[in-house]
Amino acid sequence: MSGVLIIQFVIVGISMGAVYALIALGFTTIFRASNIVNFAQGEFVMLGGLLTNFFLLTCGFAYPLSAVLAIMGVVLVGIGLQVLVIHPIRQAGILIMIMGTLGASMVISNIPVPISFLPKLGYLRDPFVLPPITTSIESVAIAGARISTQRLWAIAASLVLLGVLYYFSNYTRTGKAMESSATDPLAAQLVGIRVERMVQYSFAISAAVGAVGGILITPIFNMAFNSGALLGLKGFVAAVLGGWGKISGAVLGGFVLGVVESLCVGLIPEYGSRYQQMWAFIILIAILYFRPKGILGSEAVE
Amino acid sequence: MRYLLRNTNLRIALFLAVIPLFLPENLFPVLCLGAIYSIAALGMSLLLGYAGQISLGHAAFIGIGAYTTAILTTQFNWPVLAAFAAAIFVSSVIAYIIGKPILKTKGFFLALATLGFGEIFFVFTSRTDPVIGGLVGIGGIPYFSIAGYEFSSYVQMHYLYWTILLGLVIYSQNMVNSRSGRAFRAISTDELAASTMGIDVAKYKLRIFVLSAAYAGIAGSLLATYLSMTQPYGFRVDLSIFIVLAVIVGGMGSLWGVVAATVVLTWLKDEQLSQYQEYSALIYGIILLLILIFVPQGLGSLGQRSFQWMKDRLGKAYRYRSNRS
Repeated sequence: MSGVLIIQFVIVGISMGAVYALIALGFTTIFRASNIVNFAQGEFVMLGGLLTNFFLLTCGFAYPLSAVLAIMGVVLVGIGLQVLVIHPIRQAGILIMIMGTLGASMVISNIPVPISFLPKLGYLRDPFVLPPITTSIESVAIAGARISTQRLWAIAASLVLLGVLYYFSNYTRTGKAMESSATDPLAAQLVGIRVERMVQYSFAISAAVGAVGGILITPIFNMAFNSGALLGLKGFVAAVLGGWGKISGAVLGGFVLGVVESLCVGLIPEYGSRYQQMWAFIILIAILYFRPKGILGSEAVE
Repeated sequence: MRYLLRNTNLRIALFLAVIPLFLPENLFPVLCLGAIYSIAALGMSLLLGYAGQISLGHAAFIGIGAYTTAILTTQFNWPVLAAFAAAIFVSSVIAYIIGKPILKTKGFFLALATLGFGEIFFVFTSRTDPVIGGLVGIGGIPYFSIAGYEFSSYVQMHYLYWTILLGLVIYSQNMVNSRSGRAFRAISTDELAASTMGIDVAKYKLRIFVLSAAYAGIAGSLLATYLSMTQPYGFRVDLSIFIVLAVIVGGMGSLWGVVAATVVLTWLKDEQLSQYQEYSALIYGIILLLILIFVPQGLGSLGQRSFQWMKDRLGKAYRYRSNRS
């Protein structure tokens, strides 16, 4: 195996990992504000790509406008999810919460199906690819490996977003208020934090982050209305891998998962790519067995 | 005689024994499939309702049972009964191996880990072409037969499946009221308290996980002989969700309630929604959400609550009248 090929797989892995990191960050954001794990996180990613595609093709808007509208749409879906599903079942146990977010995931991912029977919207049911952000330069050479510019865009954009979120949750009043409303909801309420509002914010933020991930990944990944669930699960795996409940853990876990997965696919002859979607979960079971705290060590897991 | 009729199991058994005489032909598949899924749901009910451990990967254990039966009968020409026993054995062994690392986790992580296991099973079966046929799966599985007697008609299958189910329900009832059953309930209430009482929490959790996987293996083996084929898409996460949903709807602690809920949900899924194939996942998700939001204690509780409400109302009216006179 030549060095160039390994570099190629590592960079492909990093770009995939950037998106996993964004999904993992979505999980972490909601968990830090409400102690809820939202199994519908992957649907935000799918919707981000799907809505952008919809605004581009059916409404004919420009690419940036479509992306912004799509992110706003997904944020609305995220808030709707909290208001319609999470809020009514917040008192019921953990099992109901898991099933509730799974049910929401089923509903959100299948909504495009009835809509696609409307005239001229049949394409919503098919797999789709968005045009890349920069079309003038298709790929660049890094140490002899050819990398498409879209992958570099994905890495750069998610790094910026990760930085912004890190600043927001650690250095702003709202970010701290969000965290305190999960640590001790009653005490947070007593000092004047509107806990319910904070949970809604967290859903809005993680929906937006997921949507950005979807927009970044759709040009390099064949997306369809039902591919959200798998992406969401891999984001969850990334969050556990890095250290559950930690922003730095989600980011690190995302990149590590992306690179390891890409190397498994690239370096294991024949079986690597045949069982492409399996490696992440084998990594998951290994990490749960040997180090459930994750790489950075999480306080939320004993 | 009167004492015997008070026995719920016996009444239900009698009801199931005579029902083929009255039922329209087209409902037999629902009863057969309902019985098969009920076996898996029964195992899930023990795991979830009594021991308080969630699994979203039980479709994989059903699949392991089905694939074991399929491989052994079609490629090694084993008799079905032997393949059936092997299916139970294989799914239990795999549950034991996979349960050891997975059951160290709790709550959301257990849900994720079992989901991940289900996904591994799906990817493996759908991408492996030799022996198990990839996405196409395995066909031509013979009917269930015992010593040459073949269960090939719906009525025969009905009696076979419900007899097995009845046996498992009685076994589960005894298990629930035994020493280990009490241990499971203690674990589900408070693991720490249970372990201070001398209950080996890890051992009991693994035991119930393996037992529920064995039930799933039985269901899978019967499913393979019923459908006479196995396909990876039959054992995906939707089936796992279906089984957990059946347990929630039937009420966590009620074994016959879970069976009833499974039959009703099977009827809904296979008879009503199959005409709207494309929308079925959407409608199914909406039903799931409505049940969780409005009756999270299960439909059994709804019946009990309305009964209680009626009793209160009637009782009040009765007391009112008797006070006046």
